[in-house]
Amino acid sequence: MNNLRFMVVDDSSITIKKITQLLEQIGHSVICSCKTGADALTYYRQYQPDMVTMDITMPDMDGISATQQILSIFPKALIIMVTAHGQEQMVIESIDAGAKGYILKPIKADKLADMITQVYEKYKS
Amino acid sequence: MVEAQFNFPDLIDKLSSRMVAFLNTELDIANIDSVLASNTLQKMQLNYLTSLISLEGSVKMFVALSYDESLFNEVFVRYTAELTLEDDEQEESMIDSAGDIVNIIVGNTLADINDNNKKITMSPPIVITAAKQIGCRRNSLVYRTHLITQYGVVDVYLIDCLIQDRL
Repeated sequence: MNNLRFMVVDDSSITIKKITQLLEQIGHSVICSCKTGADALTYYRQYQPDMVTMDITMPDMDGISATQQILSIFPKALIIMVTAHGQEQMVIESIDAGAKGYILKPIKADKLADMITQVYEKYKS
Repeated sequence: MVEAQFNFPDLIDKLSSRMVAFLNTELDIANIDSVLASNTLQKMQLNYLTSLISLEGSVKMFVALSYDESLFNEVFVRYTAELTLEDDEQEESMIDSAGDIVNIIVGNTLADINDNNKKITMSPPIVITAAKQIGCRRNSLVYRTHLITQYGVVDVYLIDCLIQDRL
């Protein structure tokens, strides 16, 4: 798997920095980040990343709605939910919305790397 | 009765355990003493910085973590230890760190709750500084666990709002 270009969506600047650092540690790069679900679609359209990490709980539009919007226009988008929300119902809702994976915060590099590999291997076109 | 579906004393225990585990495993702050929770409070006595999230499912409730200054400063340093922060990012970073941590504690705790498979939504976190107390209406129940570390204290609050807008 080559170096993938990521978009990170999270309303916390600290979490964006942490995810960026982890992605770079495991050999990927972050080409853009944004803090709202509404911006996610705009940025996705502009940057066309290989993969997206998406928070669920954000102030304007939640990550599940943002995922649905991106996928309605870019059906091959690879989106991994990276969230603290551990309720099973939320995992199901995220997958139903089209997310390809789900990782619980606090994020560990090995789990993130495993999930990226799983998603890439399963969905690469 | 909606309140019969939710075990609030159990929930404050789970929240407190998650907080202790987070301090211990993520921030390497060990030897934490926990003082028994109370459900007889009518107000929250806030410390230096408080982060708060509301939850809505079959019931509505609030969870808050209220740190004293010395502990929060230590938590912030450890939480951001591997990151490069510019001077003009410090204030936002402190707010975001406090929000991240309450988000993680509450969100992870939801994995332990079986609320008849009903979705529980979390609000984005709110961080409060320079406030001293929040009063609650008469019928609200305020649960608190007081966690004591070598760097200071953090109070874990769970406010059970039996009727919306009680807080």
